[in-house]
Amino acid sequence: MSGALISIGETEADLLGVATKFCAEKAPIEAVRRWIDDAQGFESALWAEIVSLGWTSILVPEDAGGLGMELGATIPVVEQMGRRLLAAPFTAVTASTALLVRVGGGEALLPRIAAGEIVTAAPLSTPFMVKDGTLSGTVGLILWGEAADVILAAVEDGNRLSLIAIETKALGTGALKRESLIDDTRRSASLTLDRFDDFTVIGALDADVVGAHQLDRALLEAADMTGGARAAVDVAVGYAQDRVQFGRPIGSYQAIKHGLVDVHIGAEKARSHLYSAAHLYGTGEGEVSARMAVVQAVKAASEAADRAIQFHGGFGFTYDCDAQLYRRRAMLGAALAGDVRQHRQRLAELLLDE
Amino acid sequence: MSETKALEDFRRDADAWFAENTPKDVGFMLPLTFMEVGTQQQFDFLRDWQRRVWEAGFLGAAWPTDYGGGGLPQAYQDVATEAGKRAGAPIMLNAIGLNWTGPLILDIGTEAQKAAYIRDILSAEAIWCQGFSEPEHGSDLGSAQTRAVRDGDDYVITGSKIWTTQGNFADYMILLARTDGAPDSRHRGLSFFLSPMKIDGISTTPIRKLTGEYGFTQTFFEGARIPADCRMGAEGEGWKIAVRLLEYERGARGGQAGGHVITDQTPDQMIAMLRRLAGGNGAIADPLMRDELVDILMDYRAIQLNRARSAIAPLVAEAPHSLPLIEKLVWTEFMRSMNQSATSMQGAHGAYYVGDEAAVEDGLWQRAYLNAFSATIGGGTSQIQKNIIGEHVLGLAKDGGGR
Repeated sequence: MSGALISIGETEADLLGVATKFCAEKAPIEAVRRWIDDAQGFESALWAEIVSLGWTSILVPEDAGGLGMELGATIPVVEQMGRRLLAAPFTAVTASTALLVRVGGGEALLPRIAAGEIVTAAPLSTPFMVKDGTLSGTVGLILWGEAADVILAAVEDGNRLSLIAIETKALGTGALKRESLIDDTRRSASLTLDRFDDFTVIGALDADVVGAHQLDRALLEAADMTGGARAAVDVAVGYAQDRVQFGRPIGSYQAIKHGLVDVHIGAEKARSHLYSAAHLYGTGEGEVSARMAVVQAVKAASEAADRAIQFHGGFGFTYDCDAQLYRRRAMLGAALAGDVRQHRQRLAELLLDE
Repeated sequence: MSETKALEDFRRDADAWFAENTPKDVGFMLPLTFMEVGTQQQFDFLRDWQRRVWEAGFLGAAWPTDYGGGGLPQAYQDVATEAGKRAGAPIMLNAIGLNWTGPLILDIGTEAQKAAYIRDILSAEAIWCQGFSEPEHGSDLGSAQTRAVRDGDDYVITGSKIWTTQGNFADYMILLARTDGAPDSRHRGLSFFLSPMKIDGISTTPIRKLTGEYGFTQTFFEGARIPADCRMGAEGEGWKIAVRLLEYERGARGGQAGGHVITDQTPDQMIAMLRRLAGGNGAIADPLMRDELVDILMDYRAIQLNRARSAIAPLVAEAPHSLPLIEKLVWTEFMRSMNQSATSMQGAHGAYYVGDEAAVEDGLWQRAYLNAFSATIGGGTSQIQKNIIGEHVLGLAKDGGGR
């Protein structure tokens, strides 16, 4: 192992500073609550601001008008969005952009992404079947699918897997259906196709690309959950400072205080693993650091939000208490990041067998 | 010569010196930490060893030359400390002098104190111990009851201190004693002394540790007279100075003489031990063991990353004190837990202890686990650390139950 395990470049540090301020300002908890009740689930005007900040161009190659940076550069932005429960298709678009760059052949789409169009991707593990050159079947968990301009999906023809793009305006009414997600701050849709032929083939998918894309998505979710872990700790701490029982703030009791310290430490570890992964992603140490970041983020966000609910007492059991928002966002995050047990098994192989 | 080149040369010199001078087998068990010096043989060996390391220029390299230091930038001492660890060299004996008392004296001591104590700390000529905890006041230091009564040019000390590391060997003690006898004086009534140990009225009784070994004493003061100029700071400033001392002890403040005072086990050593135990091709096959090792490797890396991240300003901007304040708790609890796992993963071999032929690595891991409690209890227990973090990092109210 040569070089530092953790470091942050000047551009990334600037992004972190801007994203920290932007997300705190644009996504106060009242706005988050408003978006939950909104059909689209996010504000188009806020998305336009995100695009104008250049954040959807971070991964777009320079010859397509972007910054041509690595996935790690988007981590500070995703972390701060997760921290504020900010609703926007940024993570979905970022994962799709990385996928297009990996597959190649997305030249027509990349400038559109930089310009703010929403390109999302269906899970590659559930391909549409190809028959006579047409697609049929139903695929779910397409994040922000109803708001998307383009949906990327895997298609299976015999034993060949390819990536295709579908313009949503070419879809019939009712093809996209909103799903009921555990996380009210995000949206997903299922897509049902019946002998559909209006799609563009982007390129071939092999096991390496599919695996790399899944790790991309997992790392992005780890960033979202790491931000969420921090916020869940802060929300619980705020309540423990204010809430008085038996004549004392409940945070003065060690049963609460020590529990909060435990989850604070979990969130700090998650952040260290996350920024190490952001720094090392794409290098030989990238896979170990990314999987560690995922495992620790799932643990930290789950435990912090779980304790945040518990430490709010009766209020924690209500929909009005914000603690559940972090817990439920982390439940979706963990599901999207892939089974933690499999990440741990792979880590054991990487660390003990190779 | 460029800075980098000079430092590289220094690193090469240090590596060469430790390779040449680190003893292979001294014929008896060496302590893994400065808290485990239980026999005269161990003490004599380590005292001589520290003196040699200092004379070679690899201890106190960044301390002022006026007092026996090397006068070099801190990076040089860090390089030397790493070289000693890498070579598996014995520990530095005079830990409380080198890393707690020395930097405190250099920081706030008088010129006379610097001239009197610093060189002998480096050469191990004068061994230091710490007199903070008392039998009835462990974590609650502010209630210490040992009295220091002014009598002419002396203070007369009466009381008892406990957990005195190397107390039976020490020449000096950093002593926290009460100069104000008012019942409610608490922290305000404490003063800080640099007290001689080898005088009438001071005696020590060794304490046998849970490992069966020695390393600590209880120290008794029965009207011991120490000169008034042993006091550091003014009367009543003892608590303030003790808190500063604890910052050096916990590593929250820099300026230590350097050298490793604890030989830590690492996950890599643990895995190597398990591979030897597995025999054959050394593969670790048990899925539960593999999963537990993933946790250990992740937590170990998190600690290294936390340390590195605490120096990266943009990544600690919102809570700069958090990582330094959680370090002691996270690190000591990790070591305890890892050593416990290493013991339990030995299966039936885990039954054997130091001295038995069947013991794995002569009971190293069992001994390390039991000794690990010295760090999760000493210097403020893990539970006290959680109070400190809860109050000073998270901003939670103090526990107001008792008073």
